[in-house]
Amino acid sequence: MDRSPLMRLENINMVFKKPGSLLKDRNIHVLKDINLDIYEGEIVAIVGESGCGKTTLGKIITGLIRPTSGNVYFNGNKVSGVFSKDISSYNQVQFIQQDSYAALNPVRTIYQSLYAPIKTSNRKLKTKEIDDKINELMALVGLLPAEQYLSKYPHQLSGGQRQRILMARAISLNPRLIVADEPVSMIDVSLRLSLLNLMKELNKKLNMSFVYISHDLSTTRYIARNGRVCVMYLGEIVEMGNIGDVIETPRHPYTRALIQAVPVPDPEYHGNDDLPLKSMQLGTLEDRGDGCSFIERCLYSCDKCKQKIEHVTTDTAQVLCCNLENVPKQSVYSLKGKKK
Amino acid sequence: MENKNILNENIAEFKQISIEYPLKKYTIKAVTNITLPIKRGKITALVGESGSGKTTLSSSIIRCISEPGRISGGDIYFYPKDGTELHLKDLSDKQMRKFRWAKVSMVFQAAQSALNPVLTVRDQFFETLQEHDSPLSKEEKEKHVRGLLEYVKLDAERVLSSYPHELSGGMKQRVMIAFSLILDPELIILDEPTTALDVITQSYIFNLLKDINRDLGITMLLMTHDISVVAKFADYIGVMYGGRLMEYGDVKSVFKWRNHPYTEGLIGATPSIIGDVDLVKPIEGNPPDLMNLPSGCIFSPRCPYCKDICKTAEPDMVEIDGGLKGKCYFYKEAKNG
Ligand SMILES: Nc1ncnc2c1ncn2[C@@H]1O[C@H](COP(=O)(O)OP(=O)(O)OP(=O)(O)O)[C@@H](O)[C@H]1O
Ligand SMILES: Nc1ncnc2c1ncn2[C@@H]1O[C@H](COP(=O)(O)OP(=O)(O)OP(=O)(O)O)[C@@H](O)[C@H]1O
Ligand code: SF4
Ligand code: SF4
Ligand SMILES: [Mg+2]
Ligand SMILES: [Mg+2]
Repeated sequence: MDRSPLMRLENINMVFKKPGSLLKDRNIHVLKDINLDIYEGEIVAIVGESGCGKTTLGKIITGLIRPTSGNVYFNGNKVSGVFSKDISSYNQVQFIQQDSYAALNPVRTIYQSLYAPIKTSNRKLKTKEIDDKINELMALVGLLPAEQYLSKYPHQLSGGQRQRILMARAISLNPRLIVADEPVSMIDVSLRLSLLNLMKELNKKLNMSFVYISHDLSTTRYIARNGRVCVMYLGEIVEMGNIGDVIETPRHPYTRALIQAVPVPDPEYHGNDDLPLKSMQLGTLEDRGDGCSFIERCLYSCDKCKQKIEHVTTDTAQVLCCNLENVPKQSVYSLKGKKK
Repeated sequence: MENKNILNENIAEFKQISIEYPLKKYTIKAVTNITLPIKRGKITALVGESGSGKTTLSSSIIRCISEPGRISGGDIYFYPKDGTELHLKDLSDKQMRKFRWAKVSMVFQAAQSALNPVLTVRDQFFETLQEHDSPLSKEEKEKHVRGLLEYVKLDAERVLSSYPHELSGGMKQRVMIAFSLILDPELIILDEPTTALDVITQSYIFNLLKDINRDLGITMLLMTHDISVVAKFADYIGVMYGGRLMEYGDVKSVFKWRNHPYTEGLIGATPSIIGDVDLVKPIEGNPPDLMNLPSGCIFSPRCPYCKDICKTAEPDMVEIDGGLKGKCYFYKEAKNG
C-alpha cells in the first residue's frame, strides 16, 4: 500500500470574496481543509449536497482554479494550475464539465471541437488519422452514424448527446486522470450504463483514474464498485471509505440521511420518507467556526460537537469527521421501508 | 365563461403532432405523430432515450423549439381553468409571449445556462415581473421573490445579488424552479429539473413540487432519465423512443406490467441502491438513427421479442384494459409469445 499517489491534495481551502454590506467583504468559505489522495487506476467518487463544493474541488484538481491555500501535487511534483508553466502536467488530467452547454464552443461544429485538441496535442498527425480517431471515439460514446453529429453545432444536439461529446473529447487525449462532473446526468439509463461501462473499461485496460462527481449514489455504486467514495458536506469531506462499506454501514449522520433519501425504481416500494434530519436548513459558508458544520441538522448532536472535530477511522477503515457520540451503528437499510 | 363542471380532464393535449428540424442536407424528424393527453392537476412524466424528442415535444407548447425546428403537422390544445379552449398554433407571437410564464412555464434542461450571465438573479426576476405587468409594488415583489427562493432552500440574500457563474449547478437549477413559479402558472414543464441535485435536496424539491401540485392544483409535465423519480412522484408516464410515443399509462400499471418491450428494457437498465448491481443490463444495440429508421417497428432491431410481422409495418397504438396504451404488435402478450 506504499504507492505514491498520482494526485495529492493537501489542506486545500477555497474562499470566495463577495462584496457585502458597507465596508466588510463577505468571505464564502467553499472548501475547508480538504486532504485527498488519488492513486493510479483508482476510481474515486465524490458525492454531497448541492453547493457543497464538488465542482470547485474538480476545478482545483484539473488546475482550472487555484486554491486560496493548500498544495496540489501531480506525480509527486507541486503544480499550480493550467495557466502556469505546469500546463503539460495538466494535459494528462481532463475535465468533463457539469454544464455541457457552456463547455462547448457554440460557433464551432462538433467536428471542430473534437479535432482541435487532438491536433494540438500532436502536430504530426495527418487529417485522415485524426478523422479515424474521431470516428472511433464517436462509436465509443454511442453517437452513430458519426457524420450526422459531426457537422452539427452544440445547440443542435440534445442534452445527453452533448454530454457524450464531452466524454469523447476528454478521452481523446488518453489522459491519466479524468474528472467527470455529473457526466451522465442527462443520459437515459440504458446509455448511462454503457458509458459507465466504458469508463470502467478505460479504467481497467488503460489504468486511467477517475474522479466521478455525482449526486446519484446508485450509479456511483455501479461504477466505483470497488472504489472509494468521499461524502462532502459544506466544503468538508465528512466520510470517506470503500463504497460498499459506506453504503451498507454509513456512519456519519449526513451520509445516513443521504443514503436513506435515495429513491428506489419501483412505485410499489415505500421507503421511509422521514429522513433522519432535524431540518432542511442549510448551514452557512460564511465565518465558519471550529465545530461540526452539520450540527444544526444533526439528530445526534451534543455539546462535544461544538468543539473541533477530529477525524476518526472505523473498523472498516472509513474516515469520518464526527465524534460519533450518539450516532447509531446499524445499517440504514433496516430503517428503510419494506416492499409492500 | 366560468363553468367548472365541464372543465376538460386534460389541461393540454397533443394531437398527432409532428416536429422536424430542416437542416441543409436533410431533415430530422424529431417527433412523429404523437397524441398525448396531459391530465389536469396530475404529474405526467416523459421518459425515453437521449435524443428521443422529449425536449422538442414539450417545448412546442410554449413555442420554444430550438432553431430551425418547426411543427409539421398536428395540433396542440390548451384548456385553461376559465373553461375556454386555446388552439396554441393559432396564437400570435404577442399572445404567446403573454401566455408563456403566465399560463405555462418551463424549467429548461439548459437551466444551467438559461440564466442571463450578465444579470444578477434579482434583476432577472424583476425584469420578468415587469414584462408581465405585475401589479405588485416594489416591496411586494422583493418579498415574493425572496419567498420563492427560500422555498427552494436557497440563501435568498446571497443568491439575489449573485451572477449565475457564482452559483453551483444545483443552485442554478433551483433558481430556475423558483423562477417558473413566479407568475403562478397552471402548467409547469420541468425538463430534467434535478439533474444537479443531491438526493436529499431532490427529494425535498419533489416533495415541494408535489405539495404545490396538490395544494394549488398545478399540473406538471416532467422529463427525466431518473426512473426512480418517476416511480416515486409521477401519476402518468409516457415512454418515448425515436420520436414516437411507445407507451402511455398510469405509472403503477406501466411499471407493474412492463408490457412494452422497450419499457421493460428501460426499467431493467436502472441501477438501484438496493439489490444486485450485476442484474442491471443495458438495452442491446444502438439508439435509432432518425435519418435511417428500420422498417416496421422502429424498436425491432433491439427487441428481444421481435417476430417477422414486426419488420413489415409500424404497429399502431393499441389500448388495453386499464387505459394503458402501447405501440407494439404484441402489446399485452409480448413477453409470453
Ligand atoms: N466564482 C464564485 N464566486 C462566488 N461563489 C462561488 C463561485 N464559484 C462557486 N461559488 C460558491 O461555492 C459553493 C460551491 O459551489 P460548487 O459549484 O463547487 O458546488 P457543487 O458541490 O458542485 O454543487 P452542485 O452539486 O449544485 O453542482 C456554492 O455556494 C457557490 O455559490
Ligand atoms: N436545433 C436543432 N437542430 C437540429 N436537430 C436538433 C435540434 N434540436 C434537437 N435536435 C435533434 O432532435 C432530436 C431530439 O432532440 P431532443 O432534444 O428533443 O431530445 P431529448 O429526448 O430531449 O434528449 P435528451 O434526453 O438527451 O435531452 C435529437 O436527435 C437532436 O439531435
Ligand atoms: S459531530 Fe456531532 S453534530 Fe456533527 S455529525 Fe457528528 S454527531 Fe452530528
Ligand atoms: S412490435 Fe415487435 S419489435 Fe416492436 S416492440 Fe413489439 S415485439 Fe418488439
Ligand atoms: Mg457542481
Ligand atoms: Mg432533452
